[in-house]
Amino acid sequence: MSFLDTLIKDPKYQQQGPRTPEEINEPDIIISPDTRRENRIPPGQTRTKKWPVLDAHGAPPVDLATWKFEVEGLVEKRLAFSLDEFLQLPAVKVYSDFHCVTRWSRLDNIWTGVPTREIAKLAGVKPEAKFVLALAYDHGWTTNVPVEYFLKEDSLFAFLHDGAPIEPEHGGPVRLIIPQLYAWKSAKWVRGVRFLADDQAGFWEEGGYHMRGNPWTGGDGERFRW
Amino acid sequence: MDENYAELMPSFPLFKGFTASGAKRLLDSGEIKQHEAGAVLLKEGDSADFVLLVLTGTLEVFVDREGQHLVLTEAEPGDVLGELAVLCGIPRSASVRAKNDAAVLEWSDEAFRTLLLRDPSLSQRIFREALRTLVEKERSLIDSVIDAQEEAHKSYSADS
Repeated sequence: MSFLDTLIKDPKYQQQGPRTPEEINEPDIIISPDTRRENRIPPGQTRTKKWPVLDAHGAPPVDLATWKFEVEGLVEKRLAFSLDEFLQLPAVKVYSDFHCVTRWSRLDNIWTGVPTREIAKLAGVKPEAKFVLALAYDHGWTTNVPVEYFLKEDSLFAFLHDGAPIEPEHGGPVRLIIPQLYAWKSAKWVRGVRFLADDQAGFWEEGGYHMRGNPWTGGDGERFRW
Repeated sequence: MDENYAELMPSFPLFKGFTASGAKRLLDSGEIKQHEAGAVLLKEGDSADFVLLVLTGTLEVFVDREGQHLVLTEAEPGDVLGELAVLCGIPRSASVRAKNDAAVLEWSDEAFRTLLLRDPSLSQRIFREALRTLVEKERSLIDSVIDAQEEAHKSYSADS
């Protein structure tokens, strides 16, 4: 089988151009505001039709039977969910684009999952919480996100991508999705969040990556701190 | 001791923006080695299976030619050495010895390649630095050729 055949048979390979938000025929879907931009590709990025895989350590073993999602830090009530409990929470669909700091963008994604706002509401986030540290299953991997981005309407803890369960290599069973920041902030294999008053560098941020990571500002996006 | 190096590394331009824990992770991916003044860390012609980051002290990069000891450059804390031979799979192009007592971080070939593959920011910085060094060497080579031509021309003019 040729490379091209392999690619075309990949169900995640996008054979069409990206749909416009108006073409998304899904009731109550949340449209990520950046998909309404005239040019949906941020500066310095190129569109990919594939679904590349990048991570720090490879997919960690995640046992679905003991999987747990915890909410801690500056909250009124600490929370812990099993996977079954988490999947029972109110879910939404989000139509969004996905921008990797390594300069590829995958447009036109539909994510299904629990809105970050729902988690914040259940936990009762204290007003002094200004940052969120997302905690992941891979060797203590973390990433820091300003609370205002974490709580955007299009941010969610996703368990479906384009209607199918998120494969382990793409961060399943549950990954954070923050469409308005570079994709490394969308923690794969997420196991919880910690609300913080002060910003605290996560895994890549400790290596000089940007503390916020907005792809649309700074001329070439907020990629690194050097 | 590692903690001191972890505090030190973010002051090197190559690791600007690193936190001490980010630097500690890099230290953990290699091995810290102490070398006394005069110790030879690698030899010209050897196969290249590790990359060095100078942590403290000064290293001398040299070649011995026809009985002459030729120092090509000196590497200071924050400089990376030996990465091109590792990446290109070619023998060492020069030897390196400690000019004074020095500490280095030694990454194995595999650890270094893994770092570059996993961390696009760091690989961009390391490649940029390596290419800058190559361009400087090329410029210096061109200057030497021009100087040599001028010398030859002067000598020819004087002869005639």
